[in-house]
Amino acid sequence: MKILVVEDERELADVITRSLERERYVVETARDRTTALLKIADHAYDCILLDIMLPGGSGLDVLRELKALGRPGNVIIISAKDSLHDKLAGLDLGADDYLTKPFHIAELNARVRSVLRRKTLGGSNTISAGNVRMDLDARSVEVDGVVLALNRKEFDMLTHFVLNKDRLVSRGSLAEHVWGDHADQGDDLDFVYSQIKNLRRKLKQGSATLEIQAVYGIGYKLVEA
Amino acid sequence: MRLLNRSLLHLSMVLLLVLAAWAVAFFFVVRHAVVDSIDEGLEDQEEIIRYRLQQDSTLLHVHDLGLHGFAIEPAAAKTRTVYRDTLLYVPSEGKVEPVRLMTKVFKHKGEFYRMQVYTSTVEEDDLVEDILIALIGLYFTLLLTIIIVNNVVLRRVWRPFHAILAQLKTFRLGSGRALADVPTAISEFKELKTAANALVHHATDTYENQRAFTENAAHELQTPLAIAINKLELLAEQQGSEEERMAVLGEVLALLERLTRLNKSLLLLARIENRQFPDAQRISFAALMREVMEELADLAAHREVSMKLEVTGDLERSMDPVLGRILLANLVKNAIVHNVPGGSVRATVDAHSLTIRNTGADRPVDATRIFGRFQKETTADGGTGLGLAIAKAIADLNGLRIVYRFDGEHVLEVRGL
Repeated sequence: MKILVVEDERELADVITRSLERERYVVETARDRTTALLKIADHAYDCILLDIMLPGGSGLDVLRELKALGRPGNVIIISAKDSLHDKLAGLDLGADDYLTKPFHIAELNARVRSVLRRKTLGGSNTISAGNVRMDLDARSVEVDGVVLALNRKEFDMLTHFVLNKDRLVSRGSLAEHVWGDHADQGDDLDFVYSQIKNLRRKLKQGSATLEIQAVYGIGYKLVEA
Repeated sequence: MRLLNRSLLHLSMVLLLVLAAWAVAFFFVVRHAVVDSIDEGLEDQEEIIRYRLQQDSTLLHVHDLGLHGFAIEPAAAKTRTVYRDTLLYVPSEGKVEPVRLMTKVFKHKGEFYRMQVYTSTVEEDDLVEDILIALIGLYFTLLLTIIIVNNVVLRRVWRPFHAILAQLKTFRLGSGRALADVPTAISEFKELKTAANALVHHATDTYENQRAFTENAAHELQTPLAIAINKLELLAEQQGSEEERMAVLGEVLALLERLTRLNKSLLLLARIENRQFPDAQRISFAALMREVMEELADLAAHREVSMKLEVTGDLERSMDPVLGRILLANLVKNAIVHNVPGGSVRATVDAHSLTIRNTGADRPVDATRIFGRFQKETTADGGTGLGLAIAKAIADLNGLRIVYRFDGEHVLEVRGL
């Protein structure tokens, strides 16, 4: 799987690259519009992470070029601008997703996975880890073929964990992914804990081979037991 | 062009037209009067001649009109008396002159005679000339009067205006609060003064708010940044176990997440105030409230706060759905966070208002400051202190009003203006 990261901020490009390489993707970076246009002309990428505000022009030009080349899709826009207008413009030009900076690495991971899955699996939208298999369209979970009943939040949490298996998921990332953007009030994210407790219990009762480990002070990590 | 001269220009042009029209009318009226008096004079002349005719019948043979001033000749029958203006050679003057000629038929000793009498009307031209000169004199006298009045009186009358203008020209934000008083009795200038003062007050208040806001925002950002840096510095030299190091990292992450939330809130506030939410849809507050309370149920459960929604009617409003959600979410979150374990949040929606009551501290919060930015009850909860400020900004943008009151419970009520 080959991924192109178009991002002018060196530090951010670096962090994204390292994180994606841990997932065993081949990652290339472009730090301005011209380089990005050259790269997409020469190579086909499975996924492109695209910053909108680039030196030398807008990232939307890259989208247009992709469309002109007849290779639209698999683009995730990463932008500092959280405006509906930009979002719509990007999605209109064929982007698959829109992620506003700053974002959690776990969230980026999940989005990249889902874009790649849509591309490769052609319809069947399932993910699995250990003996757990999740159908994201039907929103159902099976452990060794036996249905495990989860409520909406537990399902969303497990999805996020499975997509970030063996990786640290911070409480902030989890809260944002499952409970939406609690943009303002209180950084008291302890309420996440009681939900985790329920999910752990259900996984254990269903004898799943997955375990949610606590990473003290930061968050959690899903590992195969 | 100055207002003074502009009005003068218009006035002088209009005055010229009015005076010209008036001069024409005046000329005809005067001429009519003059002709009347000439005609009367001609009749008198004719009567004198007829009187003389009683004694001297030779007058019947005077035929030379120019020489004698009259002429008589026999006529066939009685005809109407005719006056007309014509030219006649007058031997006494030795030239042709404009005259007024009366022709009248009269009866003398059983015979009809036609008599013609004339008077020279040369003076009429002089009359026109006199009238014209008088009117031109009047025109310039009037103009001069207006100029003098304009320059002396109006200049004095406009003095408060120029005083206010001079103050506005030199006014700088941040240098003072109000304009110096300009005494005036003229209602337009009083209005101008009031409007200028209101503008200055508003601008000054906004400026002060913005300045305080920038200062506060910078300070709010500064503190977590400083803590995060210090914690990382400590981590760099710390020799502890993996777990201890992770704990420090967790604290730094939490600080950075708080900064992120704060920054998002600030951006949101700016966008609300720049009116960057143009998408207006019909929103049912009852339905939205139900969704928001469901989303926040976990937070409430964790805080051991019970939540209840009572719907007796539906408040509907046309607004951006994103903002509507943020408005309600912030109000409910506020009620959950500033609560006590075992407390309650009760929301009511009816056709005119939305009310959220919550248990909490036993004393009321300062109602004037509750919606202010960075107004925090405690520093412990880690909130940004912008939640209610954002709610208020959204309400203001959409013509809603949020009122706080305390009746043992803290009550926030949203209603249309």
